[in-house]
Amino acid sequence: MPVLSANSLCYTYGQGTPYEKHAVRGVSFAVEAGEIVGIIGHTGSGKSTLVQMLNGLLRPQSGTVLLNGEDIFADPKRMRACRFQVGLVFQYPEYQLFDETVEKDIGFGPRNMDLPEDEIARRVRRAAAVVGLPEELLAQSPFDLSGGEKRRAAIAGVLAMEPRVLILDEPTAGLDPRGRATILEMIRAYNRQSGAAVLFVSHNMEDVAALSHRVLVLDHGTRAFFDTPRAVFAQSEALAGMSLAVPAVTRILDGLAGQGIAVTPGLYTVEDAAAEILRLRKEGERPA
Amino acid sequence: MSALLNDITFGQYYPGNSVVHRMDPRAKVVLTVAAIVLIFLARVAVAVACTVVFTAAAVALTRMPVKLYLKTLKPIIPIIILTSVINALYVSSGTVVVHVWQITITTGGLLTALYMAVRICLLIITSSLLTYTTSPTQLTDAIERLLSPLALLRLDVHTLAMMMTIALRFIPTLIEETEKIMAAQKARGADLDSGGLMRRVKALVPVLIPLLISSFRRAAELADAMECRCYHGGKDRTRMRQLHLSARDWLAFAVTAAVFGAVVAANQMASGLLYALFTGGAL
Repeated sequence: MPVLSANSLCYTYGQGTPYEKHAVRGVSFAVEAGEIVGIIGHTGSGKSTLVQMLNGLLRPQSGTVLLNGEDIFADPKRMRACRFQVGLVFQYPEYQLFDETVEKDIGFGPRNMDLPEDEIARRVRRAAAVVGLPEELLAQSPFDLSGGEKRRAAIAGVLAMEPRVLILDEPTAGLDPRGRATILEMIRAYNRQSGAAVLFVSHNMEDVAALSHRVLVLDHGTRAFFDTPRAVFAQSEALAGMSLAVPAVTRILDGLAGQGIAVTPGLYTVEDAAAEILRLRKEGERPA
Repeated sequence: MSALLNDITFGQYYPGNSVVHRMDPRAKVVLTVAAIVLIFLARVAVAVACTVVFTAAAVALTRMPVKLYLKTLKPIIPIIILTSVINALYVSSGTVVVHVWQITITTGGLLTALYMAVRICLLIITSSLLTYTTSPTQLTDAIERLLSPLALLRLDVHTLAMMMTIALRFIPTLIEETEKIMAAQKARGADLDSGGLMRRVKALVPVLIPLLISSFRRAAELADAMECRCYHGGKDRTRMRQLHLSARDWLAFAVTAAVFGAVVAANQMASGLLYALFTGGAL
């Protein structure tokens, strides 16, 4: 059974006003435990709206969200419990830091779960370790951290709830290459250690290619593709039509294919691409 | 755009292309003030009826769903009921309708209560008509122009207007920001809408602190952006959109003046009539 499944979700902003906007129209997909799913789509394709429905912050006008097979909207009293299980990290989460110390801020979620103090302390330390925040920073004010540290502290605040499904909305936006690499490594580490499913929204195809087991492509609020990165990135023309690009290495291989070379379509990692080019050279493939 | 934003209808611009939308914002501000004076001037049935017809005609001219105007009345229903009850109980004139124990309700009291309720409704509808049909930029533009004579008193009208524009401009931004932060803290299990007063106030801390910090950040960024574009206050500034009074504005002035005359005349006639009745009765 999938840990989280969305069934024909629809959401319209400002229903019945001149500002009406259909953000998500009939999106369905299911995520298995331990899976990493990349969500891509151009600006305004409904990604952020979709992820906010998955933990019940937005109530879809139609459609259901099942967490472990149970409808999260069925019982309003259990909604909070669902939010602890489906952890959502918003865009620019560092703007939500508020507490006196980093430790207290990371502990905000676990404290809301009414956990005993020693358990809270354990979770805070563990989450800080996953995101790579040194212990001595825990006693500092979150506002004294650097940008990248703030981002990691904010993500730790969600990880400390130890959610079964972790959702991140553009976790690497605005970070330098090193900060980006740290966040991606952290996502992978949490996924591996806890066996939780991870969904992450990204505009960066390299990030999506590096991390995802499957990719969900949204276009104008509908599901365009939901498949392995290889199958999705083999559709470079369709993606271009949705103002999306494929990873740079895929573009290079597509260019070779355009010259009449028999390249295996949909390769998206640098390693695979290198192996493919070496193979082609050995076989003496030349433009026809 | 957001759910919270949708709930706030009073004072929100509703785009359209009606005659009222196209009027000069200065004329609209002046006429709204005139209409409010008019609503409070009307004392007798005929005069109150005049103001009702006048307001209804203005609403019809905006070509907007009447439902939107009724929605603005909803939050003030308790006020209307309260003032009506107080008026009905305390004003005693005319014949007695009900007399139970200490409570006496007269026809005069009921009439005053009704007039008061109608006045409050008209007041709200008239002011929302202005904000519905005038964008915040137009509104501050109009206010700046209307207040410009105060510059003679060494009052910095331009800066005041700019502050107002910025404040209005940032209301939706701040609402959006508040919602985002609330959603983020809710995602961490914050319980923002249950418990007693103290608990709720405490629960708001995780929302208010990030909001305050981001407001300061935004203010600094905006100041930088304005300086980068060489903003240096009102002196020698020219405008992209010049305001012009057109035929429809003059027509609106004329109609309002006519209604004004009618209301004053109706009030006068009624008091004259009463005077005649009183003196006639005394003789």
